[in-house]
Amino acid sequence: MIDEELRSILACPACKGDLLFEEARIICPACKKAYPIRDGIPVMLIGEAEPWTPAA
Amino acid sequence: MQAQFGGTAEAYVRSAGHAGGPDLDRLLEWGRATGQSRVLDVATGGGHTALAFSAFTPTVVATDLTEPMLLAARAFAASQGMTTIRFLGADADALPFRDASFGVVTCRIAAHHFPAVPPALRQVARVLLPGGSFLLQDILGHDDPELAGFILEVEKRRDPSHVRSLSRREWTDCLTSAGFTVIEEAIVTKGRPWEEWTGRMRMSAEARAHLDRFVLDAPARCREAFSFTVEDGRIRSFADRMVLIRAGKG
Repeated sequence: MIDEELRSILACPACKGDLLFEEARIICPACKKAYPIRDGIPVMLIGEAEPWTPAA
Repeated sequence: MQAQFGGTAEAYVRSAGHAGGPDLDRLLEWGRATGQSRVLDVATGGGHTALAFSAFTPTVVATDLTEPMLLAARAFAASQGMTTIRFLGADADALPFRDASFGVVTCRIAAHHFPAVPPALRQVARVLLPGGSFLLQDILGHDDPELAGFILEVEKRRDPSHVRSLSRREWTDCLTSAGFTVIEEAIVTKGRPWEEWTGRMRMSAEARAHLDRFVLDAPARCREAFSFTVEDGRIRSFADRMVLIRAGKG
């Protein structure tokens, strides 16, 4: 669970753009990447991100 | 880096050298003077600095490159009754925060692992608020090439993820280039019991024997510069010099 204060300061590590927060991942729509949340820890490492495509 | 620290996370949490001492006290003193700022601890390792700052700061965010280290640090903080530190996987070269998000950024005994210091400093400057403080502690590098080469070899034999320790002049140059002004500096000597220091990295007996031989065969001035104590042909301890810097943004 990513609390409000953390959401307000988090940005994409690659483009520093706005993020979308889901239960198990954090998405950068600009980079089309999803960063995993593992064991409750957001893993905001560019090398760990998976490709993401917006739902049609 | 991740391989090196994945297996040694617990040892870092238990490390007396990282847990505290006059060096951490100085950083805390500087941190307290900045008031109730949001704090970021970059490359938190065992989480000791984040934990210490969380005692007087409502929001502490702690990042590390290595997930096992983050899990160990979070468990350690929880064991001390602190469950509000936000732990995140992040690379110091690519911090996942908006500009001007923190009043204080700390980075303690970690920068010597960074592949390059300038990109990390630019990220720290970016995420700091104008007027914010960067509180840095790291192993101090030497300007004397023979001494610098000796201690670098000792460090790398023990821990291949050790990249390099910057000298005081190099730190000032790097910080200035990244847009910081050095406000205060201190040098603190930290004693290292040899068994504990080499044991933390789980070296093989053979690698440890080679390291001991390297130290014992080095020119006496190298051992003297780092206060190596040797009894009955066995290394007992040495001393690192740590540089502590409070730098302001702008």
